[in-house]
Amino acid sequence: MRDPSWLIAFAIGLLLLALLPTWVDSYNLTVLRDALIFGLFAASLDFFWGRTGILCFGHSVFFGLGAYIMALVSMTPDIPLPSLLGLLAGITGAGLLAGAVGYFLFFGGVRGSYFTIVTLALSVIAQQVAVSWSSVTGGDTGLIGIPPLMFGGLDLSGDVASYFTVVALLATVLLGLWALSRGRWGRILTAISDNEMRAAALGHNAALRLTMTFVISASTAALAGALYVAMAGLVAPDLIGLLLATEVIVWVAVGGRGTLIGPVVGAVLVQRAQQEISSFNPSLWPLIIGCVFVLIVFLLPEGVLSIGTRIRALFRRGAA
Amino acid sequence: MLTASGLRSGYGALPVLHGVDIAVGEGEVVSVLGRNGAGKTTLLRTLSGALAAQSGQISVGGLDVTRRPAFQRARAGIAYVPQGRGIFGMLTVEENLEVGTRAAVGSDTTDIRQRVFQYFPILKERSGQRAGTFSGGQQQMLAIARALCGQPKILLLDEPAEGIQPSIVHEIGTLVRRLADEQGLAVLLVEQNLDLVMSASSRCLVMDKGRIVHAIQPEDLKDEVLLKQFLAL
Repeated sequence: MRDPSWLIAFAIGLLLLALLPTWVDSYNLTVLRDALIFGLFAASLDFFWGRTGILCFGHSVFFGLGAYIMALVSMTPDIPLPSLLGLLAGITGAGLLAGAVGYFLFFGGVRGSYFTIVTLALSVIAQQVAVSWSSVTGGDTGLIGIPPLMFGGLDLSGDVASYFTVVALLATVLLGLWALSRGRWGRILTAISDNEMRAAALGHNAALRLTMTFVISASTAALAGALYVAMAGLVAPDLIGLLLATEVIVWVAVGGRGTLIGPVVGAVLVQRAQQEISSFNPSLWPLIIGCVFVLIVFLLPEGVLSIGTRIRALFRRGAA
Repeated sequence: MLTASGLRSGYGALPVLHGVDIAVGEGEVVSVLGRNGAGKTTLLRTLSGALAAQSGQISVGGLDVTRRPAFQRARAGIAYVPQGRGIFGMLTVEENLEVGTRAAVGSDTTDIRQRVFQYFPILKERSGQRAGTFSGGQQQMLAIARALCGQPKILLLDEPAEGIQPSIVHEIGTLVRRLADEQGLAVLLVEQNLDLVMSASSRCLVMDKGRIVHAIQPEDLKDEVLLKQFLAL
């Protein structure tokens, strides 16, 4: 995180992503685009979990809320700038919910695994609401026919255009989150996660800082959710529920918690593997992802990106 | 600078402080002595806001902070260096100090750090090193330096000599005295190490069973008879 290798990896990754459309067909491009949106979602969780050490087990709530609000707003007839309003409303809505959750939990002294359990319950509640409130959410089947991204006369619905939109947004948000976690903000979060009482004794309002970080993280998740429905054209309860909340944790863990870019890589790799494996045996996937998760936790606790560092360490030991 | 009157607090249903009155003036180092369980650490925790006062009043330079949370008290000028130091091991020296500047509202933080480094040359040499790799004595120095970065009016120190080699204890004693003399810092020092108490304090208070029971002079600590009487050592 501190060394320039992060920026180099980021630049190389961005270059690859930019050149990709020249040799990848449009089907694979849209698959990658969707995977990158989930990568953005994973990075949003990592910004909170990786820096504060507090796991949110209901991050899909914010992704799903962004998705549903985007769907409802952009499908409203005769609305000016439906995509832009939908994105803003989704991000704001999720930010407000995260602010409320953060206010009651963080200011109430809830931390650690208790926070995880409460957010887990939140994702179950959210999924239940999405299923039951069918007059608004479309119930189990969800909503279809969500218009693609349009900003005024700018049509971003094409495969290549939507792909580049996602890449550009992902890069911008990642840089923003990276700058935040590298600077003073990140150091204060490290201090709070290390010892909250000491941080407070130095004048830091830990509850407020945690709440603000949670709001930023949730808003980013909502941006990913809103983008996803605009690209996919449909929204359903599985975008808000417990399964997605679990999957995103796996992506972050596989990619490497606290690295921001790792979770994006993790999301893309895991989803790619899911497609490959599901194509020859759909029932095998949950078993395999479970085993992979266990192996990663035991063998590569810092994620797949740490393989490079480990190999380098091995060579150094060999040379010495 | 710091005054507390009729201070009562404790843990749940267990009262520890039974009405403590204490005042520390500018440039004064007041030591609190007493047996284990007398309530010394609880007093510091209550003053810093880590523990809520059940009754009584705490004020800093005339400002009533009794009902304020810990972070606001820090901004009002109370710096608390708890037992066991509590430096942030994952951060470097420089970063620890930067995090410490939050309470110094409206000041140039780089400037503060440079001034604090003057008192701690060893920290300046190792400013890029992770604090977790430091020895106990260096961590204690860092904890005090970090507290100073908030530009406090009052420094609360809880057993800074605990588990630290004698030469560094002596250094801490000299440093605390210098800070009080040169910066006008009010220091409340809880300590079991009598050498440190004697070298740094302006006056001493003896605590027992949650109350201040005696006020003595640092020189009195050399008197074995008095010591036995006050501290039942």
